[in-house]
Amino acid sequence: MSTSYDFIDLSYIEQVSNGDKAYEKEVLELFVECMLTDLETVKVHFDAGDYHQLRKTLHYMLPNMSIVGLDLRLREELDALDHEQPNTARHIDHIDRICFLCTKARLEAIILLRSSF
Amino acid sequence: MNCLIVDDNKIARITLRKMVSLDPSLVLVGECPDATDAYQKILQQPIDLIFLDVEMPGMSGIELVKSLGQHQPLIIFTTSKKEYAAEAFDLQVADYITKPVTPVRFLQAVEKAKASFKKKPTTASATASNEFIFIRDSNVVRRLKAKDILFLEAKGDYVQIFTEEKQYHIHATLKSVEEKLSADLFLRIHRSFIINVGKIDTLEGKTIIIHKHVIPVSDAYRSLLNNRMQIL
Repeated sequence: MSTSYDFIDLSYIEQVSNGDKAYEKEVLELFVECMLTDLETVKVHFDAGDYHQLRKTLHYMLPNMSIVGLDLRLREELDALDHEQPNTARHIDHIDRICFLCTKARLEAIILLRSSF
Repeated sequence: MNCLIVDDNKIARITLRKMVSLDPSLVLVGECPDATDAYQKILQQPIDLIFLDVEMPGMSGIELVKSLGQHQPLIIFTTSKKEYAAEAFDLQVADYITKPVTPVRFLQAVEKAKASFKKKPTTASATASNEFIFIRDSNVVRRLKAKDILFLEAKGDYVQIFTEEKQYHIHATLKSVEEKLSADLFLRIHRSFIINVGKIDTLEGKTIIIHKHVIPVSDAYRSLLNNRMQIL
């Protein structure tokens, strides 16, 4: 699983798994499953303009993001969400980028699961 | 060491489980998706160490630790945020690690917990030493039997201690008094109130009555109170 990917970074999973493929598969499957639900929840809160719940959902998603290195790629956006004014163009851009990268990472994880396990 | 994982995130639980398997001295006795579930497990079985998330729906990890009192096992907080670190260390936890938790950092935290475990007094001696408390009452230091205390109320810089016969005012914070009380007898039910569970006369809605005193129960502590009362 050491091939490099565009959106997911498997170095953390591999560091924890120490070669345990069952763990890698279980975690990636959960990532795919949880990310779908979490992104839908983000969309619901975004559409409702509920930025408090939206931030809470993004916090909840953090461990899932970090499992594939997304927390590092999205550090600037995630940090900004805690401080910036909600419902501004910049805030919405940050949420868009988080959702975009999470969606792409999820799709890449699906392809990886089909090809490597 | 018997250990418990408490985290609302399933991936985090699986990852911590994997890391627990790295140290053969750790015996994983359970995994809980929330703090209320964890609280029940902690009362039901001997647990030496908890890997505890901070932000969870309902009761937070920090609230759980505060509610445990003398039942508190060793705690390693695992969280995505660094901002709770100061408050966490005030609770005298073994360590505080941020996610994603690396195996090296995990094992360092476990070693710290093991060192604390060796120094920790047994639960029996800790309970025995808390059967009474000493308070400063005017010019004398007075011994109060814990079983005689009905409840305690925070009032500014003071804590008011209610017994059936008398009320005492001591210059202290409710938190500092809470740490000296046995969690076998006492439970915090509100930011400003700690009660002796065995003294409850009635519970109705968001209030309890102890010896004709009406005491509010806040939502954050309601599930803990229900668990302790074991209502039939």
